[in-house]
Amino acid sequence: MQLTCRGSIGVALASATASLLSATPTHAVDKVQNWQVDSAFYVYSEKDRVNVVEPAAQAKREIADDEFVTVTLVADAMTGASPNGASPAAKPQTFTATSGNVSYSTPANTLPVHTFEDLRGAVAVDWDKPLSRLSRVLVGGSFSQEFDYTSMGASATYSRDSEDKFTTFSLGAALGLDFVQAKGGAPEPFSLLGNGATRTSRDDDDDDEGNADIKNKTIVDVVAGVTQVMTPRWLTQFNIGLGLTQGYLSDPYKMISLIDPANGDTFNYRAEKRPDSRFRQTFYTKTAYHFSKDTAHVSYRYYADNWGLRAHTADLKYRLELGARHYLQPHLRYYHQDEANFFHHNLVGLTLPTDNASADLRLATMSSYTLGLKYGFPLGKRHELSARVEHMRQQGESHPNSAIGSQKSQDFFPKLRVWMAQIGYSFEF
Amino acid sequence: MELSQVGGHFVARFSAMASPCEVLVETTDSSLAAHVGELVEQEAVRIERKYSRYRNDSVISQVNRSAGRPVAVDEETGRLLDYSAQCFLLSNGRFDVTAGVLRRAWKFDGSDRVPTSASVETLLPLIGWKKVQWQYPHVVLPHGMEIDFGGIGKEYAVDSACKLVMQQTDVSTVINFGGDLFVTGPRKDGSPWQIGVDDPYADGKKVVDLLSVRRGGVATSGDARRFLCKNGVRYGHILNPETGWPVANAPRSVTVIANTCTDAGMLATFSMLEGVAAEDFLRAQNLVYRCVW
Amino acid sequence: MKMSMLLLAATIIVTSGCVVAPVRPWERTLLAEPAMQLVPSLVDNLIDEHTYFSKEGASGGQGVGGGGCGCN
Repeated sequence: MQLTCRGSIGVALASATASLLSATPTHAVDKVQNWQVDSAFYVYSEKDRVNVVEPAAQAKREIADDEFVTVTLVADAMTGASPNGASPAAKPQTFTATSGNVSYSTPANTLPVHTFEDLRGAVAVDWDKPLSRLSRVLVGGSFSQEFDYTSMGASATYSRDSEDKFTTFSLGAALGLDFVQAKGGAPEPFSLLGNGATRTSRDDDDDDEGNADIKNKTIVDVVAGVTQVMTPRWLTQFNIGLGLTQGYLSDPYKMISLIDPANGDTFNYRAEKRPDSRFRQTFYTKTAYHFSKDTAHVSYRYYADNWGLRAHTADLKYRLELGARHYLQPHLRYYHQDEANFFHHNLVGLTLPTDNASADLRLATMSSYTLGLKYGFPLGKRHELSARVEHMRQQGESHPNSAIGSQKSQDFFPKLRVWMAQIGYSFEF
Repeated sequence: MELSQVGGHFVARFSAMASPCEVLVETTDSSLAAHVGELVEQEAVRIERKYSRYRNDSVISQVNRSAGRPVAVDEETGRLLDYSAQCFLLSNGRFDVTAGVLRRAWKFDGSDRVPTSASVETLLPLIGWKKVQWQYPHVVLPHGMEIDFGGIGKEYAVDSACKLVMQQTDVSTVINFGGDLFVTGPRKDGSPWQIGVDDPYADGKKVVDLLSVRRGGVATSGDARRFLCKNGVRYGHILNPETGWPVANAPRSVTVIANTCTDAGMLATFSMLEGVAAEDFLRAQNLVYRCVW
Repeated sequence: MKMSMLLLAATIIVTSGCVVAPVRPWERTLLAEPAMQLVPSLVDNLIDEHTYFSKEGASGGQGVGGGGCGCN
């Protein structure tokens, strides 16, 4: 027998045997098809800002030989305050909602935030089935609803194994359609909002005055990937993704401060404006490695888009087996992004920016670090309880070079400190 | 089926596939052990009835009687035929499920009645997987040819029965059909099962080695019980389908441990087909094995 | 990083299909362990991806689908 690669006959034979034994025996004693459920109760809290409570559950069931259906349900309740885009100033600032009923103010030397409350429910269903001996298809649909935002999507992913099943190629595409119905309508981009910045609040307490102005955006994503078994202990994946979002991409609730060039004081505000399309590219790689008992997961993502945003994400999880299926899993995540080319902390004077401008800190240069720890333990066969705690810090340009006059003493990117905690329960019924 | 308790585990014994079968279940729950034993016995009997050439109503007999006409087979038989085709390719033609007709010339009863060259040669035109047309779900077997899953059947039955057992329970189980076996997991205290390898020179009365198996399939290929001996020359029962004669200088027995019993059995068979190079083959595959010459 | 560099990297990876070291049949069991799933906890991943999507400018990469929200 010709041996090409060392040990190749053993490998090829194992693959042939796997195919022989793969089908469910036709005379199996009737067994109840189980639902495998992974559920979690997650709490997120930013110091002085946003709080989220998020229950989530995912249930999976084998509906036919090697064919699965998965249902995912997520709800989240968010309350708190998030930056409205205006810059901190040496004097207190007041902002008003369109109806004129609700106004809020920000003390001096504080990053202006507006309070909000939102409730979101989302459901997704996936159907995963084999197409042939070596290929599979996964088809999914999703729907999500918040007070002023609706999102729906559909996706399909095709994957194909090589003969020896050590390599899997996959190609997926997704389409999404989102609708936003800003309370009081979406403002005209760059419109002047006046000194007591007339601003809509996302609070549900608002009367539904003003014209309901529904904006939409369409999203298309494509991801091609390869998963490869490198050694008996090492599995790795590479993905390349392209995405395009078109439509209304501005945030109807965000503004940009206009600064007096003489002294750096805020004298007015404009509604922000973002491009009506965003084209993004991602390169993602991930590795799972099995040591003698423990496993490690490492991933890296490079992101770039035509808004000028560039980001690097690195993630590491190390699962330390403590014996008897108990485990401890520390987690480290590092994220860094370079700002979008139309990000400005604020605008100087009344000159209109050439094209787009946004002061949303999520488009600014920033880094974030997350440190977490998860503990899991079994309660029985296929029952597991887990708990995890994570701490994230996000920081950016607190004192940008562009600061003028009174701005120089302001903190434009207060360090964000977040605590996250989650209890997870996995079971079968 | 008879069930007995031995220390911390139960042993269920029955007869199937012309072999003594036993199922060891690591539990003190007698009803679970009985359930597992019955499950395994039912699966062994099912496979035997389906693929035994001694039964007129078996699927394999229907195929062997088809006299050149296409026969539609079920999904399980299809998988076994696919597997046979792959093993034929991987062994470069030396493993061939159509070689069963040679039993008309060779009767391995320990006597000295070695067949004549002529009687073997008349059978050669009836052998050759390449002469079989196989495209799921139809197989066309030329008139006079036969398909025999004897080289796969027992090990496949072990793995098939194990799948059923593992769907029902997590307790460690050993399914042993006449020396071809599978261990589903370590014993309750984490220790492996001790599997004895028969001394082929001692006719089942002595053990030449003890293998510790936590999980995996074990199979033995050898001429311990089926051979002919004439003029001091021993004729083993692993036949070369191209010549119709036993593989020269093959080891007396080869035992292999692998991921499944079917894998173990096929790797042991492949190594025997290598004759004098059996041990080189086993070493090149990085296997855990025992080879007795 | 130009698109052409990304595509080149992908092609190199895809065409080098040979395994780095032979995987013995009984060693496949390590790869089948739940801890070796490329995404060890799908629910944790879902929650975290949603959190980071609402706090950062980048998103995606792992695959398609999953749905959107108004948080970015």
